Amino acid sequence: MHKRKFFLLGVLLSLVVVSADAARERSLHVQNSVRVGFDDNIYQKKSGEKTASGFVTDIINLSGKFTFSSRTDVQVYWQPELRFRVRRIDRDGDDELLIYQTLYGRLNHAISQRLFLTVSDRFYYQDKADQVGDGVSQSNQQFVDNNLLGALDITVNNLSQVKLGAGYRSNVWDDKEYGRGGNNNDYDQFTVNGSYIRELRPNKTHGVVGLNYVDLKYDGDRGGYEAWTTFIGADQIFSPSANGNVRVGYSMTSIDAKGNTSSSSPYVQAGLGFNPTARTSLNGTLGYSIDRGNNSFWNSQDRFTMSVGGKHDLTGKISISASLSGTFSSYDGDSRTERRDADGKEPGSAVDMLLRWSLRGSYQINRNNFIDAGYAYTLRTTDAPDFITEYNRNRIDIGWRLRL
Amino acid sequence: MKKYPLHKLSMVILAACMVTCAQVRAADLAGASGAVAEIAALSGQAAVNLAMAALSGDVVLIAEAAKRADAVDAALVEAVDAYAALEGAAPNDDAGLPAEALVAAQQKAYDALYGTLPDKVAESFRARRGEGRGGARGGEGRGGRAGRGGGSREAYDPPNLEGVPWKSEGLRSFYQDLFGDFWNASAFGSGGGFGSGGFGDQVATPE
Repeated sequence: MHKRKFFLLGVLLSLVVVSADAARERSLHVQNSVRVGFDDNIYQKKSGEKTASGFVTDIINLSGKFTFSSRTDVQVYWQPELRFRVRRIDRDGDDELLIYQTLYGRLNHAISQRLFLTVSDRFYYQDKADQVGDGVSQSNQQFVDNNLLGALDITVNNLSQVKLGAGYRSNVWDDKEYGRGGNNNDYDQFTVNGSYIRELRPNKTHGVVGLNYVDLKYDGDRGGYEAWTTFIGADQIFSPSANGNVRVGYSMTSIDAKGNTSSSSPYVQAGLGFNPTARTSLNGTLGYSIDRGNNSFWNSQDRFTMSVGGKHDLTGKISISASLSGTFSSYDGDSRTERRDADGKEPGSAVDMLLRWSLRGSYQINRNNFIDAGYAYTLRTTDAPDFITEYNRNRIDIGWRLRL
Repeated sequence: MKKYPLHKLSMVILAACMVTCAQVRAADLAGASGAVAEIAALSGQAAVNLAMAALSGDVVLIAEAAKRADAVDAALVEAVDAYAALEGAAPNDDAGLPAEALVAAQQKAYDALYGTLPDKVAESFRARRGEGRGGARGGEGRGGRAGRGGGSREAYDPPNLEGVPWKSEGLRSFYQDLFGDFWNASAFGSGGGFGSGGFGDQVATPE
């Protein structure tokens, strides 16, 4: 990690320590997981070019809540991870030690009886994982992603609220050739949001009307996009065990890319949660929106997403969790960048699909000790294999988790 | 210049002052009467709210509506007392105290009905933070549910790292639950992108 990133992480951790020391009430929980596992495609390459590896990883979770007064509290979460990859199987390469960081903090403060402030910051230093290809380093595959968000919640009356929010997100890749250079994948994103929420039926239905603005700029002269989205929606409690939400709107987008285009697209987000028993929960979402390109060839995409997550406690000691998600991306040739593929071909329109499935079981040995086992599968397919790598990946692990 | 006797002039001035005071006093009483009527209207609205809450069958909502109605009624009693004091005050008495009490009662009634009860700050704070009833389900989702086994979303588990604070409480609660499901199923946030589950963000496209 570079000095600047260490400095940022140091500042965030210092804030956590100072906050913890000044708090009137505090609760702190520590958890440690040691896992051994196997990954059959650590660089996510197409079939025939896979690199498999075993790994040993140690993940520490530290979560805390610090209450300063009846009006102010801070919630923090810090998760460093040390992963040791053993020598590659059937490929050249040495053992390597990787370090990842996840840090999150959230401040809640009631400024007055009608004004409520929330500020959060999420910091990742993680594997870029999916970014591999000719000319892109495999030994320097990490990125910093920081997302700072703030919101003011104004109570208009007993039924109505106005929420005003703003956010700044910054993404910097360790690999300078990929983040800057000719690819310019580093980006800054600025977001502003305003919404009006009203209780339509007491404790049952909330309606919402909102406006969202996003301005994303990639590094250098690559461009980016601006999007204005207006939406209406509702949150609904169907019963004590079922709830849902929906947002429907329209986005007008100005894309600064090779094709220099403006476009418009629908905006849809919907979710459904269901807890059939006290031991089981199911949640699912569907969404359609414009988003950033996530690669070197297009500045934006129309994205359809679906996700389903579930959890079930088989017994008081055994629980299983599963998740399934699909992302379907549609890239327009007009939003292409200056980049071309290895043969000098210009990117046109393309679609790709990313499917991910995870399953994990946990057995509680006693109050503090657990045995965990997990499996994850990832599949990516596309109609533009010259630009986007198709691959599949399997990962399995088993480990011991200790709660202190 | 015609001279008027001094005592006659004094009588005229006194009479003028009495008329003026009577008019001011009448205006004060009319204003106070209006204030009491407004508080009475708030009391009526509180009673309607209580009736609607009773029809909904929500015990928590009924309790809150009843509390608000009681607070408005208490303010109404204070206002009536203040009005009586104002009405019964001798012309030379200082009417400022009952008038202030009337204004305070009016504010108290308004606050009681529309959610700014002095002791509501901490409660409102907890609700929006997710520990109470605020929003659709409370901001932290099912954190308080009993009977969760080994990997439950408890104090050890993270808040929704991708949570957006300007979204409605109902939506934040929902996504906290979804995040919990994905987090529990994942490899804890790294290796294959955030959460290994694809929730919340799309990982970069392999090139």
